[in-house]
Amino acid sequence: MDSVKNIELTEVEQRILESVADALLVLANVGFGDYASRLPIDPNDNSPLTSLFAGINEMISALSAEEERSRSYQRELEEKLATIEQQKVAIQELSTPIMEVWDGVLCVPVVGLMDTARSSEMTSALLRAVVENGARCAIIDITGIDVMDTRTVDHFIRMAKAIRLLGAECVLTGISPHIAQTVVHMGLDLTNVVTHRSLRDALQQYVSRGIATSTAA
Amino acid sequence: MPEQRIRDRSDTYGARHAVKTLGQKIGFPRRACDELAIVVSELCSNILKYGVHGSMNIDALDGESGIVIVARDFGPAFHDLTLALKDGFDDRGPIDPMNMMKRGGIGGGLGAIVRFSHSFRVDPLPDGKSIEVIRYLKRPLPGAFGSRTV
Amino acid sequence: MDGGTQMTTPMLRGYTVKQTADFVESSYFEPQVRRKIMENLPTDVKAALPHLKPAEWYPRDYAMSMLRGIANVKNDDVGSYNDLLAYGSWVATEATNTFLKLFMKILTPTLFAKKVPEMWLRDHRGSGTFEVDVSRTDNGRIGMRLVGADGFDHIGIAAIGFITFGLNAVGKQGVQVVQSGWSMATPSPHVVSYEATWTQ
Repeated sequence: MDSVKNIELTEVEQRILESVADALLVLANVGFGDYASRLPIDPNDNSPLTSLFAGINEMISALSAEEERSRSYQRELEEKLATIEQQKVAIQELSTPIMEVWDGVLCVPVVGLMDTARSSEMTSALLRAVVENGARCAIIDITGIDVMDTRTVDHFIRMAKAIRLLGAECVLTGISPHIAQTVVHMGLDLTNVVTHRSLRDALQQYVSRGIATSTAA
Repeated sequence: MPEQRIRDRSDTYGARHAVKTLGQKIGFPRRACDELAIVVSELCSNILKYGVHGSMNIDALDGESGIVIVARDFGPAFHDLTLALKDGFDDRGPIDPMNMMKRGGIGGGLGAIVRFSHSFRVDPLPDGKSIEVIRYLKRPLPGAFGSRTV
Repeated sequence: MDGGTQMTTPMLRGYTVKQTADFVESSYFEPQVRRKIMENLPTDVKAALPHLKPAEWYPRDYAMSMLRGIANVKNDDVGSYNDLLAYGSWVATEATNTFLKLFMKILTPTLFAKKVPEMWLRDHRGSGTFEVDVSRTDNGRIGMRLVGADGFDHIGIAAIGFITFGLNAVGKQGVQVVQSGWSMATPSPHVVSYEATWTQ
């Protein structure tokens, strides 16, 4: 390396050296992320260096475009992540919808899986709703549920008792044969639970009762 | 199957879907697949209750004779596993009914896992524990309706 | 930003600011000294530090507030001089990315003298000019001046690190640089003069 520094350079060599040095300085800027830099090109100079510099400028432009693409991709990803977060919250809220389908008649259509976490959430939400709405009846439809662990079934029955204690009737509809078997086999006390085959039947019962009561009043 | 990261509730859905898909592929009837989904769900709840992420592997046994699920959490080891497996108890004793609601569970998660599987095993890890659950395709579940000594 | 604005607010490059912060947080100073310097920075500087873009221009004060912090650790002409010198050398060696290393590799003394002013302007706007007295790059000495960096406290000493590094890079050995103009009482005179010598 010292050899270049110590010998005398011809004027041409000196010029080339200086061009290369300038080019490296510009590239140093690109190295720091300044994609606006370009190597200086003299259009009247036909030397090979000019072609090389032109090629490098092309590459810098390509890098710049790639960087912009990558940045907009990242922005898009961040937006999508934000949407996913919002949707997570929505899913949570939707997982146990408790609807007041008639005066004082609450309805909870349960779909999906009934595990211990869900059963606990449903119980708290339902008891809260019964109190807040002054409900006289809570209809829990488990048509979609075929499998429940025995402990969960047990918990359901306890929940029904709690609802009764709050002054409302607890109706279970859509019990599958398999779950019915489980209940029987467990020897559970079902005095607090009214059952109907379908949600439709139950609604018919309680809504018409409700109409009868209000017309009577 | 690749390892699943269990960081929050929504990861639970992915794991449940994975076990149902694998179960169907191996030939488990629909009800068994639902039961396996509950097992996975309870395992996930267990992982999440420590507030730290965990992981789960769901794979077929050799010859597709069943499914093995391994769940790793970074919580403390069970203080007393026998107690933890009793419904209405956690690993230290009976759950105070007043605390039942706050816990966000009903003290039956582990029981459900055990009732819906053939084998259940807990191993300590350097900073947590690993729970391995196996369910065989061709064998019936013992004590299908709740009576099962641990 | 028009030329007028640039004249009134001196600017420098993001990578300079970042490297200054990196030096403060390096193991040169004791942990409590490092913490004190960083904590005493103005709020806008603290806020900007995590988001610096290397090639962008930032107000000169972002780096200068840290330079003042460095100088105030010992707060005397000798101690502060040494700390600022260490800063300058550290940045000069750390700051060279691949292309700057390659640039140093091919530099001759003549070219170095020619390029120094340009390199100053690459990193600094509104902080004067770096002049090299090219008539004297012989007999083992060279004269340089930083003119017009009024208000840029302590940069006069920090620059010595770069001068030494540059001269070493072009093959000079036993490099010594003597400055006149800076002192803790006059941290940013209108002119800082340098006399650089080498043995071979």
